Amino acid sequence: MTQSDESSLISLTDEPLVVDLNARRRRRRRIRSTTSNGSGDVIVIDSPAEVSNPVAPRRRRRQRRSNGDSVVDLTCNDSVELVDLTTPASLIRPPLNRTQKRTDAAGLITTTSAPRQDLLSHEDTSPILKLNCPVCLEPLHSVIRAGRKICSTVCGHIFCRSCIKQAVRTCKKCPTCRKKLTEKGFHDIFLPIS
Amino acid sequence: MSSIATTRIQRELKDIKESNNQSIKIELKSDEFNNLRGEIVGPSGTPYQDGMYKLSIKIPETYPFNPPIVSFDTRIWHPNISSVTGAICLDILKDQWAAALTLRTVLLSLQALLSAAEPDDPQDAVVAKQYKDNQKAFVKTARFWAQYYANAPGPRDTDCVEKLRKASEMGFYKDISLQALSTHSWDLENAIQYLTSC
Repeated sequence: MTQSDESSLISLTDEPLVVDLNARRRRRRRIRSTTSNGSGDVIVIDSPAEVSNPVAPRRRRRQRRSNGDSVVDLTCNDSVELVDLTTPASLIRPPLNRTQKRTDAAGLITTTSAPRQDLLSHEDTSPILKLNCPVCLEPLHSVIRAGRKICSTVCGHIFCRSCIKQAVRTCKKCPTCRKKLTEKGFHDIFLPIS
Repeated sequence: MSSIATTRIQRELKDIKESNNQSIKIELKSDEFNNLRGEIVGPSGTPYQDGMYKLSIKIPETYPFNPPIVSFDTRIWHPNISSVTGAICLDILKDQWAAALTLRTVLLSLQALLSAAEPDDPQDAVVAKQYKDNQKAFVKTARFWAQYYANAPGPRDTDCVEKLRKASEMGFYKDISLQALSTHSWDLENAIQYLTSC
């Protein structure tokens, strides 16, 4: 059995990451108690050989923690097993059934990644926002196409440059929020339009 | 008229047409873009409900950096609108105007004003006083005016109809009689006394 085959990773999103093994319950308890007052480091216990030796893994844990450079290869799905510890169920579940655990982990991955994919595909298909200069009501993309500049005020409102210039000259305030503005109260912005 | 004002009014008219809001309307009075006619529907839950209120809108040369000049053509009984001239007391049409506001937002604000009067900042002192002192008479008068001038549907108050008939039978113009009766909270005797004295 290789080390990677045996290792399993239990992760807490905001709390210390605990790597558990198919170790005995006694050991697991000790790991948890150690990590609960630890920092957010990742602890890896790799081999059953180490588990069988009660001293070695502890020392190794300390070393890794002090180094702060413990690395878990997450690119290979087969080598590690992810268990979310943010849900209490995974904390108390006995790790006897490894296959079930693996299924859970796989399920977890799919549920968390699914909305992200939805969001991405939505972004791809959604139409470009219609943005107009609030003063002349001209669409900003045609302002840019005409080679004119777009400006932002210090209060964060966007206009075409000719409009905000005239507004500041005549009203001395932001056309949107009425905040007092001077000639220095606005500047060009450069929208990354492709 | 400046080009920015003209192009903006053209865009605004197009936007209002596209927005498909049935309760507000804006149209050109002539070929000029500085003279427009607006119309709003009285908001539901108010005495003005379903009344059609015509507005005259004048666009200044400096629009949109200065507000449009708006007044009611249709007569209305409201603390913030003159019952005689139709002049409106609304902050966004004065010092609180912002260039990002549009005719559409102005008309929506007027609808909101009909829903929520500000009697402490009145345009018509007589109406505002009645609004504060005699709410029942105010609602009765505002509703009757909505039906009489703004074609609001529904049966008219028989007391109002009767008193208005009596006053006009005495030879006073209907509009003047209605104004006098409304000012005196439908006290016929006081209204007649007022009409004969002036």
